[in-house]
Amino acid sequence: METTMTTGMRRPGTRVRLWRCYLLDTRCELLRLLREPMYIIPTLLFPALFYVMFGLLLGGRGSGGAARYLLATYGVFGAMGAGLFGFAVTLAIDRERGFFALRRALPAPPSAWLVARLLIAMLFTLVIVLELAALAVAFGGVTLTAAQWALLWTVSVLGALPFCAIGLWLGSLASANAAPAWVNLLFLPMAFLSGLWLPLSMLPDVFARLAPMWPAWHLAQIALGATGQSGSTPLWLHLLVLAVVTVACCVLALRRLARAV
Amino acid sequence: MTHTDGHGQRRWPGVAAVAALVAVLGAAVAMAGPARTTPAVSASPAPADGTFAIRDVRIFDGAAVIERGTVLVRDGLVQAVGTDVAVPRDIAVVDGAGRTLLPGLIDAHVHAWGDAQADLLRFGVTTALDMHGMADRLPALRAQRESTAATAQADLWAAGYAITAPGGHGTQYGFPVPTVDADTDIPAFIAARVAEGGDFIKLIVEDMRGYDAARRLPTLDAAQVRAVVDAAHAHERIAVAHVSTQASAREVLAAGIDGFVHVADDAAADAAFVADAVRRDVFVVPTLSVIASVAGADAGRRLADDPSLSPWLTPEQRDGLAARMPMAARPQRLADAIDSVRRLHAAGVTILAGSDAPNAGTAQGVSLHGELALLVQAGLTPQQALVAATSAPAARFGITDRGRIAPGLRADLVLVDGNPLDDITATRRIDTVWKNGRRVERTQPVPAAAAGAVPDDSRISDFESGLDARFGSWAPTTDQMAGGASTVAHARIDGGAHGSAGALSVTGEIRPGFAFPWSGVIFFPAAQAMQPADLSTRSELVFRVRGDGRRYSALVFSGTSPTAMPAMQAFEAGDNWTEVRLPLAGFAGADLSRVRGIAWTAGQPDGAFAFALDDVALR
Repeated sequence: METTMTTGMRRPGTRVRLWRCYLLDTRCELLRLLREPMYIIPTLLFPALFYVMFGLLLGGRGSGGAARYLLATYGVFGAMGAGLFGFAVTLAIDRERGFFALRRALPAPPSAWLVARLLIAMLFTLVIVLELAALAVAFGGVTLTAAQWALLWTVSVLGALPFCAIGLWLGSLASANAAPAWVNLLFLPMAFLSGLWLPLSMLPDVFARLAPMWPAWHLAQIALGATGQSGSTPLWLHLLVLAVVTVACCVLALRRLARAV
Repeated sequence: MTHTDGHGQRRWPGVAAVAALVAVLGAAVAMAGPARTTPAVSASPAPADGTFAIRDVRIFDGAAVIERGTVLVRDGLVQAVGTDVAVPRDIAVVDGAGRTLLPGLIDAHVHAWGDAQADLLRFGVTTALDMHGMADRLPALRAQRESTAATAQADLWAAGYAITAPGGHGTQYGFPVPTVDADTDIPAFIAARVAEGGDFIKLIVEDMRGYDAARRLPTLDAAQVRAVVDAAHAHERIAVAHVSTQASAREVLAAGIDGFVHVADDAAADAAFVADAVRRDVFVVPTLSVIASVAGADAGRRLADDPSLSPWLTPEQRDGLAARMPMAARPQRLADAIDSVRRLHAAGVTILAGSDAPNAGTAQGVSLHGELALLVQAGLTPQQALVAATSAPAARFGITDRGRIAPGLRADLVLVDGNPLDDITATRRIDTVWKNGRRVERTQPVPAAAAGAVPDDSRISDFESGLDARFGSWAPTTDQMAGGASTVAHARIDGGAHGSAGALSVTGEIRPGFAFPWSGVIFFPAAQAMQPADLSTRSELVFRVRGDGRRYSALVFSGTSPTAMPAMQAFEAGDNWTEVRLPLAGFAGADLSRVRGIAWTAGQPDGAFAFALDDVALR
C-alpha cells in the first residue's frame, strides 16, 4: 500500500490497485507454505520420485512409450496434489482457526485469498511439470516439440483449477483433522483409477469402463493429447466435464463458506 | 421463506450444482470409455500379449508365396493367413507394404551355449537344432520350447551327447562325453541317451583322414553305426550323421541313416551316391558355411562387413566370424561341396539349411543368412533355400508347431525389407522378429570400445618420483581373478637403472590354485583399465629389469574382446640391470591397434619372486 503506512497520514478514499492486494496475499500464502517443509517436499518431490521409479526405471525396459505416457499423467498427478492438498487441508484448518472471520474484518478484497491460493497451486504444478520434463528429457529419452511442451505445461497448470475447486469443496466440508484423510481417500483412488500410474488396459475391465467418472481421467486425456497420445474421446467432452466440475464445486464450496462463521 | 433453507440461502443453486456434477460425470462414463483407448498406449502392450495383424505384406508361408496378404495372430498363435483375412478393429496392425513375412528361420546344425540362443533370435532364427552338447540341459530346453511365454531366446531341439568313439571327434571340447567302444551295449546306450531327453540321435563318423593324412582319430565302425541307427529307430528317434568323406558317407547311408548333418567335402558326390540318397529319401544339411571356412574362403569376414548385419553383431560374434580354421586353406573343398549340393538337389534330395555355428568363420544366427546365400550359389532357388530353412527341417525333424505360417502354428515370424524370393540377401534386412507372437526387442550390441589414441611419447614410466606414467596407468594383476591364490605387491623403490632415482619393484609369490598361475603388474595404455588403445605405430617394447634370476613373461592383452587370451614373450631378470627389447611383432596374434594392457608377470614354478622394472617405453 503505497502512500499509507510511511506517511502515517491516510487520506480517505485512497485507492490501491487490486493486483497489489492479490500479490501481497499471494506472498503471504506462499510464505506460509514455504515454512512448512513437510508439505512442500512431498508435494513437489513425490511426482518426480514416482516418475523415476515407474516411468524411467521400470518402464524404461520397453520402448520410450512408458516414459512419455507417464510424463503426461504424472504431471496431472502433480496438479491434482497441488490443488487438492493445497486447498482442502489449508482451508479446513483456516476455517477452524477462525481465519475467515478475521478476513471479514480486514480491508482485504474478499476474493484475494482464493486468487492467491489458486496462483500458488498453479505455481507448484508448474514446478512439478518442469521437474518431470527435465527427468524425461535427460533420462527417459522423450523428445517433444517446443509447441508440445508449451501445450503440455499449459494444460497441466490450468488443469490444477478443477482440483482446486474440488479441494475447496472438501475443505469447506471437512474439519481440520478429517480433511487430510478425506483428501487421501479421494486422491489416491482417483489417481490410480484414472490410469495415472498404470495404463487402464492393465486394470480390470469394470474400472477401465468407469474411468471417465474421474475428472483426473479427463485431464490426463487432454495432457496425453498434448503429447500426441490422444484417445478417441472428443476434447470437448473432457473440457466440459472439467468446467462443470470446477463450477459446481466452487458453487457448493462458496455456499458452505458463506454460511460458516 | 419456502425458497430458502435453514441457513438463509436459496436452495436451488446447491441442488443444481450437485445435479450438474452427477449428470456430466454419468454422461462421461456412458459416452467416453477407454474401451476405445489410445492406440499408442495399447500398441505397446498389444504386441506384448501376442495379438496383432500384419497387413498388405508378401507372405512366404514355408511352402508357397502370397504376393499380398494379411496374417492375423492371436494369443501367440497364427489365427489366419490369406488375401482376405478380416482384421478386427481393436487390435494393433503392422503395415507390411514393401516387406516380406517369413516363418521364423530354423538353423538345422548348431552348437549352442552361452548367448547363442539370444544371438540366434536377434537374427530371426527362432529355432535351432543342436548337434552335440551336454545332456543335463535337455529337460530345460524342452520346457522352454513348449512354453508359449514371451522369451528373448530361440528354442532348441537337441541331440544331447553325440555318439562317438572314445577319444574320437567330439570329445575334445572340454566336457566329458559318454562314448561307444567295442564292448558297449549299444541298445542300452541309446536308451540312456533317449532317457536323458535327446530329441534325435546324432552319430559321428570322423577319423580326420579327409583333413590331415598323419592324424587319425578313433571312430565308430560300420557295425556300430548300424547298431546305433537301429537302436535309434527302435526308440522312434531319427538318426543323423556327421561325415566328412565319401567313403564314410556311403557306409552310413548303407546303415540306414535318416540324414547327414554335413555334406562330405573330400570330393564331389558321385552319381551312385546321389541315386542311393534319393532312393533312401535321406536329407542333407550341407553346412556350406563351415566348409567355406575350412576352404579359407573368407565368407565369415564378408558377412561381418555386410552393413545390414554388422550393427547387430556382438564383439564375440565378430571375433568368431573373423577367426580362421587352424589348418591350411583348401578351396577345393568348398567347390566340391557346392558341386555335391547341386547334384543332390537336382536329383531331388531334401536339402536343409544349417551353419554349424559357432565354428571358426561362423557365428550364431548371422551365418544362417550366409548359408542361404551359399545354397543359392549351389543351385537352389531363393524360395527353395527358404524352404530349407523353414518347413523342410520342421517336417524332417518332426517339429509340428512351427516352420510354416499357418493357422494354429506358433507365431514365430520374421519381417524383412524387400523380397528375399528375388534376392536371397534380403533376409538380412530384418525389420521385426516375433517369437511366440511377441515382438522381439532387438538391440544393437554396444560396439567394442573404439581404440583410443595415445600420446606420441615413446616413454611410459621411469618411476623417478612415483608410479605415474606419461599416459595410462599401472595396476597389480594376479590369477586371483581366475580363482588362483598367487599374490603380488608393487611399489616404487629408490635406486633405479643407470643410477636413476626410482624403479618399480614387484614382489610376490606364485601359489598353486589356477592351472596357469600368474602374478605381476599390468600397464593399461588407455584412460580406463582394459580399454583398447591404438599402438599400431609402435614397434618395440623396451624396459630395464633386474631380479632374482627367474624367467618372466611379458603379456599383451589386445583384440575386440577384453577376455581374449594374451600373447606373450619371455624374458629373464638377472642380478644386474639389463635392457630388454621385445619387438611387438613378436607377440603372436596380438592386435596392436587395440591393445588393452601390457603385463609383466611371473608364472610357474611356485614360490616367491621379485623383480624390478625401470625406464619402460614403447618405441
